[in-house]
Amino acid sequence: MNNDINPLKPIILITGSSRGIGNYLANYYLNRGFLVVGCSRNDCDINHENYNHIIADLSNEEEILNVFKIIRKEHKRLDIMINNAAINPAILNVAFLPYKTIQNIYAVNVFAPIMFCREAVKLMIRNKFGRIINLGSMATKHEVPGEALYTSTKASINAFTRVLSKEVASSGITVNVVAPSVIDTELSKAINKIALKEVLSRNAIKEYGDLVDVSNTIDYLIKEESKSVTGQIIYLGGV
Amino acid sequence: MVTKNEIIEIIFQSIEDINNENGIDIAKDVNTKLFGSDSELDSILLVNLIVAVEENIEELSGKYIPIADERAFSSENSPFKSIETLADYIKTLLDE
Repeated sequence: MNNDINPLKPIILITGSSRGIGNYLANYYLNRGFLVVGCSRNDCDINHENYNHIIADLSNEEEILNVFKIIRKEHKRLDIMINNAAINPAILNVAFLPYKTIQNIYAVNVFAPIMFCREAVKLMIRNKFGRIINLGSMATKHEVPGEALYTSTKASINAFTRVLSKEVASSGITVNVVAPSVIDTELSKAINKIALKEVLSRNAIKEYGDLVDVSNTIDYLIKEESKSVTGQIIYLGGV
Repeated sequence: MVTKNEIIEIIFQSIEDINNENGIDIAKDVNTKLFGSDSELDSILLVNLIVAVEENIEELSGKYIPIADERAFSSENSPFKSIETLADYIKTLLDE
């Protein structure tokens, strides 16, 4: 655990940092000199003096609150939060969706980011500065059959983001959605390759996206100068 | 055990912080209204106050209590009516 409270280093919280986009972003911001707090259900392979990893089940309210208890204790503040963690456990026709699956995906993809936003705003509001990025999906534009459940969770986050941005704008906090194109991660590997190709064919850019596309967009949104960019849903890949 | 008077002191201290940060003058009085049309606080100032109180309570007691839980908004006797009712509500949460 890192006890260094350095006001010069931005403090960034990234959910789902043990793999995929979250793991990339954690490493990316460590290389940029940020203090990174990551959390996920599993341990993480990042070993860096400026990295704190907190194991937390994001479907558990107490464990989410504990993440913020640690941040308050160790760092006293939070500058940036990236709600990255998401699951897509079943690509199924709505007629076959088990209730338990609906509950699980909403717990991680909707309830958890809302809770993270709630607690992050409380930390940011006192400093009158904050940048919140919620990861979205091009699924909300493409409306692919079999993806109704996952798509509905991401559409929920889009709406939540837009309303939250209006609530916290006067406190210097911006809230935006970055919706990547298909990126080669474990989440996308679980989806049928032919279906992915068909969806990508609808974009202006028909190839897979790169991780740097995501960090590049987030870099822009978290800049102090981007104070008027809020409540936006930025689709990558020309969706 | 945190006493009601200690909680009131924490709320007053939090109000002083909010006053200084925002250049306002909310009265440090147990009868000060926190919510509603006759309150001096708008919704953002109330959020600021609640956040400051939660932080200061945690510092004093080591216990983090999210004040705005569902009971706070379903209760007929809202804890946000005044500083006194807020102190009573926090005392109840801390004693649980």
